[in-house]
Amino acid sequence: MLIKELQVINFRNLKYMKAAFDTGIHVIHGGNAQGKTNLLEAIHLLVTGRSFRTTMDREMVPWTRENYEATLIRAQVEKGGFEERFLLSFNSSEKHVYVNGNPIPRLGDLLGRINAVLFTPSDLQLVRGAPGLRRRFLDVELSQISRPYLHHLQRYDLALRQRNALLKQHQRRPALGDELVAWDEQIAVHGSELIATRAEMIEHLSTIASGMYGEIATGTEKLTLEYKPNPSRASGDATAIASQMRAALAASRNDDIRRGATSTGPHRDDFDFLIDGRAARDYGSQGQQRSCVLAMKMAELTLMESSTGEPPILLLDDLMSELDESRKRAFLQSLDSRIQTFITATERDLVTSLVSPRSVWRMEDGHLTEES
Amino acid sequence: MAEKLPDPLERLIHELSRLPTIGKKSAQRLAFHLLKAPDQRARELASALVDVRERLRFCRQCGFIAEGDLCSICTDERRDSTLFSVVEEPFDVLALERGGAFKGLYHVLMGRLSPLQGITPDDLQIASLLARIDASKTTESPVREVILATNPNVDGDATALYLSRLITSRGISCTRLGLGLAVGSSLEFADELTLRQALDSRRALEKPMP
Repeated sequence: MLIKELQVINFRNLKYMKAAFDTGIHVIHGGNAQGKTNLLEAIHLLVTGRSFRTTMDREMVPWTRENYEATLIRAQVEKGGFEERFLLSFNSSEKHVYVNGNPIPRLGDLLGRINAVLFTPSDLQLVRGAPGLRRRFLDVELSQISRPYLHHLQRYDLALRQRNALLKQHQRRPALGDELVAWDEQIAVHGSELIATRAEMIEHLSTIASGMYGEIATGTEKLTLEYKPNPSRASGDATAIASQMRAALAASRNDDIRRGATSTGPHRDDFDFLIDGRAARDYGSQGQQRSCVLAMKMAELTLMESSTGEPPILLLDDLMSELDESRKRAFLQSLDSRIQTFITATERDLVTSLVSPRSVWRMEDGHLTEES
Repeated sequence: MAEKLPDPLERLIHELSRLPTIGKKSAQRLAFHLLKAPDQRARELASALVDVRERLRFCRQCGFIAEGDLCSICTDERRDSTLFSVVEEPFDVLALERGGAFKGLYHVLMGRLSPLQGITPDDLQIASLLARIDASKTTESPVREVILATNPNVDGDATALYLSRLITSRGISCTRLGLGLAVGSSLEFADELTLRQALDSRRALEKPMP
C-alpha cells in the first residue's frame, strides 16, 4: 500500500498542498500548530472517512475563509500493484467519496480500501482510558480487514438499540417476553460473531505484540493482551458463543428490564494490557504504557499485512516526543523499508539522527516544502 | 422578512411535505410545478388521488390492495389456501407475484417490529394472521405451512422469529425464504457475505441411494 500522490485543498490550515511520495520513511517536521498532524489526519480521512481527532466535520473545514466552498483530499494510491484514485470532498453540510471516479454512497464502504495504522499521542488512552476506546479500536481494525465483521457489527448495533428501546417500554407494556426473545436472538447471532472474531484477533495481536514489545522495551518484561469478553465465560466458535449468549441474555432478562438496558454482550467487552501478568493500566509506568500501545500498533500492522497481503501505510504522529532515546532508536531501526511511513516531529534531527529517511518535508503555517 | 405564501399554496406544500421522502424543498418545487402546469394536469392528479381512496382499499382478509372487500388473490379459487406467505408491505406481494411461482395466499403485516419507532406486535396485522390460521382449522383446507417472507435485515429477521414461535406453537410448519446467490449472477462477483449465506443454506442435489 502506497500513497504515490497526495493533494489537499482547504483542510484546516492546509490551504493547498500537493506532494509525491515513495516507499520508506517520510519525515514532516515543523513547530507546533504548523499543520503536521493535519496532514496525517487528511491521509487518515481517506482510510475511514472519519477524523481521528473530531466527530465534527465543521471543525475540519476553514468555513470562515472567504470564498470557501469545499475541502478536497485527493490521493493516487498503489494497491496490490494497481493504481486507484481516491477523492474525498466535503464541507460543513455534505460529504462525498469517489474511488476511481465512482461515488461511494456509504462511508462504511470506504473502510478497507486503504489500509493504514495510525499512532498518535492520544493513543495512550488505549491503555489508560475507558473500555469503549478499546472496543472502538478493535472495531475499526477488524472492519478494515473483514467485511463480515462490519456487517455483523452494524446489525448487532441495531439489534441492541431495538432491544434497549423495547426494555424501556416495559413499564407501559408488561408482557414483553416473546418480543424480547426475537431481539435476543439477533443479538446472540451477530454478537457471537463479534466475540469470536475479537477473541481470535486479540490472540494474534498478543503473540505478535509480545515480540514487538521485547524489541522496543529495554527490560526483560513480557507483554500479553487478555481479552475479557462479555458474557465473561464466552468461548468456542460462534455457534457455541451464540448459545452462551442466549443463556446469558435469558439470565439477565429481569435485571435488564429493571434497568432498561442490555447488560450482557460484546458492547460491554474489554481487553487488558498485561506486563508480566499485571495490568499496565494500574501498574505500568508512562513509558511502559506507551511501549504497550506502540507494540500493539506494530502488531496490528503485521496482522493487517498478513490478512490483506500487503503492508499498510504507517502514520506516526509526534512519536519522537513520546519515547525515550533507547526505545526510539530501537523502534525506528526496526521499521521495515517496504512500509510507507509518515513521521511528524518538531525537529528533523530527532529522526534523521537515528534513521535515514526517503524524504524530508518542512511544514510551516500550512505550507509543505521538500528539503534535500 | 420572507413573503408569506397564499394560503392554498401553503396548504398544498404542507400536505406534500407529509409524504414519505418528500422534504420541504421538494414539496415547494412540486407545488409550484402544479401551479404552473396546465389546469388539466392538476385536476387529473386530484381525481387520481380521490379515485385511489374511493375505489381501492386493503383486502379484509390478507391486507393486499383490493377493489372490493377481498383482493383478486383471495378470491381466486385456484390458489392453494393451505399455504400462506407473510410479507411486510403490500408491494412485497407484487414482488412475489411477479415471480409467479407462489400459488398460495398472502398475509400483509403492514410493517415490521421496531421498538425504536414504537412499532409493537399490536401495530401489525399479527392477531388477524393468527385468527386466519385458527379459523382455517375447522375448514376442509387448514393451513399447513406459513412462509415468512419478511426482509432479510435485523428488523425483518426479528419479526420472522417472533412470528415463528407463535405459528409453530399451533403445530403448523413455518419456513423462511432462503438466502443466497442471485439467479444469473456469477460466483466471481458475489460478495463474501452472500457466499457465506449461500454456503450455509446449500442443499443436496439428489438424495443418496439407500
